Amino acid sequence: MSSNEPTVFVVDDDASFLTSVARLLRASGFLVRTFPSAPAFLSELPKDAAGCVIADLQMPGMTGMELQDELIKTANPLPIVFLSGHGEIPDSVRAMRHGAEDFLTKRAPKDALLNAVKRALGRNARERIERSQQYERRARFDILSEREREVLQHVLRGQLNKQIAGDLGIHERTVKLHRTAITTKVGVQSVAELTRLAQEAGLLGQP
Amino acid sequence: MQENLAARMIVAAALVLALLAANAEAAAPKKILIVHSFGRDFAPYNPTGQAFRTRLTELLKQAVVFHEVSLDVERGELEDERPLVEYLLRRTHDARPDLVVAIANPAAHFCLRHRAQLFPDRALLVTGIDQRRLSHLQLHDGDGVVTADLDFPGVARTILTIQPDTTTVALVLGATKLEQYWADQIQRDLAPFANRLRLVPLTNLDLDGVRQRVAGLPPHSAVFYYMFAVGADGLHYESEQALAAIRDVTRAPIFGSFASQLGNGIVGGGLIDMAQFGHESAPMAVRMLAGESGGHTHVATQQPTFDWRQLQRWNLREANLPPGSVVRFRLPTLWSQYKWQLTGIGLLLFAQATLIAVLARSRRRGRRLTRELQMSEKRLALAAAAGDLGMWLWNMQTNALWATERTKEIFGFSPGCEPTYDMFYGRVHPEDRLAVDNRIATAVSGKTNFELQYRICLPDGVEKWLAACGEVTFEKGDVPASMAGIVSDITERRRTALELVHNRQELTHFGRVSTMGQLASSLAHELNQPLSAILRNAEAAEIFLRSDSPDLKELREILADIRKDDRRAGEVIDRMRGLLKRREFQAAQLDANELASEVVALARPDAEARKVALVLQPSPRPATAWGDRVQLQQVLLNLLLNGMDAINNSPLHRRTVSLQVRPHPSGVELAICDTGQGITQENLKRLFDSFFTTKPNGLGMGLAISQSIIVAHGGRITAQNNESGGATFRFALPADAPRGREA
Repeated sequence: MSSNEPTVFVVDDDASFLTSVARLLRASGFLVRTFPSAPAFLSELPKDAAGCVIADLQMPGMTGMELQDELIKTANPLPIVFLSGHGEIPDSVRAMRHGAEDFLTKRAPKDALLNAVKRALGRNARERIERSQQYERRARFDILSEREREVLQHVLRGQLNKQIAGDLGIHERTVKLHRTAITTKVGVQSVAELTRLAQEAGLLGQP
Repeated sequence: MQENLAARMIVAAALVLALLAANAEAAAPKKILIVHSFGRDFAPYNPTGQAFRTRLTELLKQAVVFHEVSLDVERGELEDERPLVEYLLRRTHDARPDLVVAIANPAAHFCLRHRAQLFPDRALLVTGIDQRRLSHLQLHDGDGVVTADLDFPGVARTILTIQPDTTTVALVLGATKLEQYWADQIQRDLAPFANRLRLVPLTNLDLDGVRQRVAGLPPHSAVFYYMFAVGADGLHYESEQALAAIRDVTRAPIFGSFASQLGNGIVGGGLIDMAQFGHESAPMAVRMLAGESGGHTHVATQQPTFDWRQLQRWNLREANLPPGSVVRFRLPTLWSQYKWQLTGIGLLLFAQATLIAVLARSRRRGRRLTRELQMSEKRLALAAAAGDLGMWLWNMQTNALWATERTKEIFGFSPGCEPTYDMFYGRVHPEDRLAVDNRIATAVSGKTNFELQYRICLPDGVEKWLAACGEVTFEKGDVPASMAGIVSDITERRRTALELVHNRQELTHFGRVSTMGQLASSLAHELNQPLSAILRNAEAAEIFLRSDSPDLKELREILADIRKDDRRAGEVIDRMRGLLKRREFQAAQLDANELASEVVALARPDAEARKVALVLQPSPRPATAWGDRVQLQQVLLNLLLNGMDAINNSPLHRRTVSLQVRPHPSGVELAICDTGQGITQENLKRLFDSFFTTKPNGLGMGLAISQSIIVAHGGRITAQNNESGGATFRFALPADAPRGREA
C-alpha cells in the first residue's frame, strides 16, 4: 500500500467502537487505519498522507479539538469528521469554524457517516491537487536569484523601472536586465501574466 | 595453584548465579486464575472467592496476582465455549497461571473439559462442590478438591424438630440449569419424608410469582429456600436480594442451607458457610503452588445456628431447638428495659401486702395504718403516672383482676368500672391472642418473665399497640398464684419509629437519585459507546451479507463483538439500577477495597471528562467492613463528586481526588482527599447542615444525607483541611455489626 493512497484514519479511545467503525468503512470499500489515541495517530501519520480523519471528540490525553489544532498546523491538513457521544452545540460550532468537514453523533445514520467520509475524501483530493499546482507555480519562482526576487516584488507593486532603480540604488539598465531574466526564467510573456502567476503562487504581499 | 584459583572462581560465580536465580523466583508474583460459575455477587457462592483471595494473600509469603473469569451461568449455559477458551488462551499466553481454581460445579467441568488446551501441565483446585458430585469429576493426581455435604434430609429434620406440626414445605429455587439440578436433587433426597411433608416446588417462577405463592401458604407450612439467582422472567438477583423480598411477604418460616442466609430471613439450622470453602482452599493452594499434591479437604456443616428475631416472628420455641444450638441476633428484652420500674412496683406491691397483713392483725392501729395505706397507694399511683404505665394484678386462681385507672384507660374502659380479666382479654386483637396465651404459658412453665408487644381493638375500631410485662408469683413452689405487671401504650412510639425509618429511606433514595443525576451525562456517554459499536457492527454485517460469498469468520467476530458490547451496556445499566432502586437498609460484611474500587469505576468517566486524576489507594491488608453496600457507595460517590467540584478551578497539575482505604482500630477507615481550595473555617462548622451549600446549583442535601447514612452505620464523617491544600473527608466503619444491629 502506497502511503498516499486515500485512507480513512479513525481515532477513538474506545476499542470496540473503533473496530466497529473500521469494519463498516472497510465493508463500504474504504481503506482504513485505526489509532487508539490522538498522539499515536500524529506520531504515525505519514508526511504526505492522503485521505481524511474520523476522530472522537472526547478522548483522554488529547481531545478531538486538540487534534484538529495540531492537524491545522501541518503542511498537509487532512479534513476531519468529528464523532461525539452526544453532540454538544458549542463544540460543533467551534469544530466547524475551524474547518471540520462534519460533526456527527456516534449513532448518526450510516449514510450520513459514509457521505461525510466521501465528502472529506473528495475535499482532500481537491485540496491536494490545488496544493500541488501551487507548489509547481512556486517552483517556477524558486529559480530566481535574490536580487531578481527583490526586483520582482517592486514590479508586482506596479513600480516603474526608474523608481525601482532609485529604491534599490542600482542603474536603471540593470533593472531592465533583471526584468528580462525574470520573464524568461518564469516563462511568461507579459507583466500581467507574471502578476497573475505570482498571485496564484501566493507570492503577493511578501517582502 | 592456578587451577585451584580458577575452580574457586567458578564455584563463587555459580553461587552468585544461584542466589540471583533464587531472588528472581521469590520476586515473581504467583499468578492464580479463578474460574467462577456464577457472576461474582451471586449467592450463595459470593463469599467463596473473596475469602479465598483474602486468605491466600495472607498465607502466601510473596506477591500474588488474581485473574478471574466467570462462566456467568446466570446468563444461561454457554452454547459455544470456544470464544471463552480463545480469550483465556490469549490472556494466559504471556502470563501463564501457576494454579487454576474452579468455584462450583459448572466451572469445575469447564476447566476439566479444556485443561489439555488451556493449562496442560498445571494443577487444578476445585472448590465449592457437593461431596456426591465428586465422583463425576475426572481429577488428576496433583489436583485438589474441597467439598461439603449438602444435607437436605437434615433441613427437613430441622423443620420438623422446630415446627413439629409442619405438613407442607415450599421449595424455592430459581430458573437456571444449575438451580433446576438442585431442585431435582432436593426432591429426590426428601422423598423419604413424603408421608409427613408435602413438598411444593416453587421453581421456574419469577420472583413475584414466588412471593405470591409464599404469601398464600396454608398454616403448618415452611419454606425451604436454597437459592434464587435468576427468575423465570430472566431477572437476576444478586447476594440475598431474592431472599429478602420473600422474607417480607412469607406466611411461613423460611429455612435454608447457607450461613449467608442467616440474618437475611431464614430461621436457621445446620448451615454451610461458603466462605469456609475459600478459607480451606487457600492453604491447599499454597501447598499446590509449592509442587505438592492438593488432596481432598471437607468443609464441615456448622453447629445449628438460629436467628432469634425469626424465632420470635414465627413463635418458635427455643426449647425445641436441637441441643447445642446457637441463637444469634437477640434484641434487648422488655424486661431489661423496664427492670427498674418492675422491681419498684414489685416492692411497692409487697409493701402494700405487708401493710394489709399488719392492718388485719392489729385493729388498734387501724386508723393510722389506713392513712398510711392511702399514702402508699398514692405513692404507687404517682410512680406509675410518671412512667405513663398502667399496672395490674391478676389472681390466676380466681381470675380476678385489679387494674389501675391508667390500665383501664389504655384498654378503653371508662373510669370507675371494674372490668374482669375476660373483658380485658376480649379486647386483645384476635390475631394476637394466641401469642398472648403462648407467652403466659411460657412464663408459667418456664418461670420466666412475661413480656410481649401486642395489639388491642377498642369497640370504636381504634387499634393500639401495647407493651406489657409481668412476673408470676408461685405458691408452694410450682402453683402459679398471681401475675403482677405493667402495660403501656406504644402506638405513638411505634408509628414515629416507622415514620423515621421511612423518611430516612426516602431521603437516602432521593440523595442517591440526585447523585446519579450528576453522573447521568457521563453514564449516558458510557452507555452510548457500546450501543454505537453495536449499530456500526450490525451495519457492517448487513453489507457483508449482501456479498455472494460472505466472510463467515468476519461475521462470527462481528456477532461476538455485538454480544460483548451488549453485555457492557448491560453492566452500565445494572450499576445505575443498583443505585436507583428504592430499598431498605440492608447491611452485611463487605470488602472495603472492593467497595472503593466499584465507586471509583462509577465515577471514572466523569473524572476523565473533567480532567481529574482519580486515585484509588486500597488497603494492603484485607479490609472488612459492615454496612449497606448501596448506601455506602452513595456516600463515597457523593464525596468523590464533591471533591471533583472542589478542584474545578485548580490548575491541571493539581487536579487529583484520592480515595484511601486504611485499617482502623474499629474496622476500616475511608478517606477522600482533594487538592482544591479547602474549606473556610466558617463553612467547616455548617458543612453537614441540611440545605447548606456553596454550589450555585446545589441543594445542600448531599453531605447531610451522607452524614445520616454514616451515623446509621455507627460512625461520623469528619472534614478537615490538608496542610498541603485541599480538604479531606473521612469516616470509619465497624468491621462487624454493632451489638443488636446485625441486620
